[in-house]
Amino acid sequence: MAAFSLERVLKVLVFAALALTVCKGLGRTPEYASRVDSRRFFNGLVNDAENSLIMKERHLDFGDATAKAVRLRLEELERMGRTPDPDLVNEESLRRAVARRMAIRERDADYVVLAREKLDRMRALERDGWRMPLGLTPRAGATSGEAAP
Amino acid sequence: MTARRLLRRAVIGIACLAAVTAGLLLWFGAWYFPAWRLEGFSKAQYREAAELAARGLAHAEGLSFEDFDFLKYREVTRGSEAYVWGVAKCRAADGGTELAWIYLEWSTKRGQWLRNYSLLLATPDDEIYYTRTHPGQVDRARLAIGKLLHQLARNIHEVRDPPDGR
Repeated sequence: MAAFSLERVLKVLVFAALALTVCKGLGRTPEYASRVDSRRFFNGLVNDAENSLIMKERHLDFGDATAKAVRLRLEELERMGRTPDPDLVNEESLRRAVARRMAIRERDADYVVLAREKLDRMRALERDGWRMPLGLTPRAGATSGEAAP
Repeated sequence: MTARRLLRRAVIGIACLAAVTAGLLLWFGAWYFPAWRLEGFSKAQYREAAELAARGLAHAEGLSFEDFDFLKYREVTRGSEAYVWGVAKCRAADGGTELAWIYLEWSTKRGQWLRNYSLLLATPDDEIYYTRTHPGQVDRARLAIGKLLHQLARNIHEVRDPPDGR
């Protein structure tokens, strides 16, 4: 009998793999996860936002620590003529490094604000019991024919 | 024929040796050293863990650790991640001050603090000093590779010659 032929077994296995892929993929969509396993879904969102905020704060601190170290080098160069490498670390390059750090700091500080806003947004979604809408929603601002400002 | 076989064996031997060396360095840098001597500290003992890491780094750089300029502990409310970072103030032999960035992460998998990106700040290989033309491309590559190799060598030195001599 050909009921358990190799070809048929392989077809069943391939179909099972396909079904499993569809199920797993469906479980990862926000439409499914926000309804069926909402606690885990929001835990993931909030955890991600918390880690982002900590990372951005750390990057800001690292920049500030570098600025402090550069200022210290400048001060020691003036006071005791100390520099680890006169070719690369001299008064001109140190002053430039301070200015550059201060410019980058603006951006890094902004990233912290953005990360905190994102965390607040995720917490608000959880508080409101948000669920990913199922239907197709029109793109925001794309309904009218007016030019965007 | 025998000379050819000998050469072949030598090439295979050298390739194996290189692979084992690379594997050992990877194991040391990614698994062994981050955890080294930090096993005993709980999540709440972050200050002690950070101080041990800072003392070790300072000693391996030929400096003496004085105090933390600041130390921050952060943890998430959902999940198990925790972080501690700060700046260690160190004294050099010539009387100057060096600042070192210390950063540890809590590993849930291994249940202990792990060393992460830690280094002396504002050293000559920092890109903050670079201009468009100085240093040149070759020197930039040399400085970047030297920075990585220096960190690896410093970590190996720290394990071979720990600060308390044990």
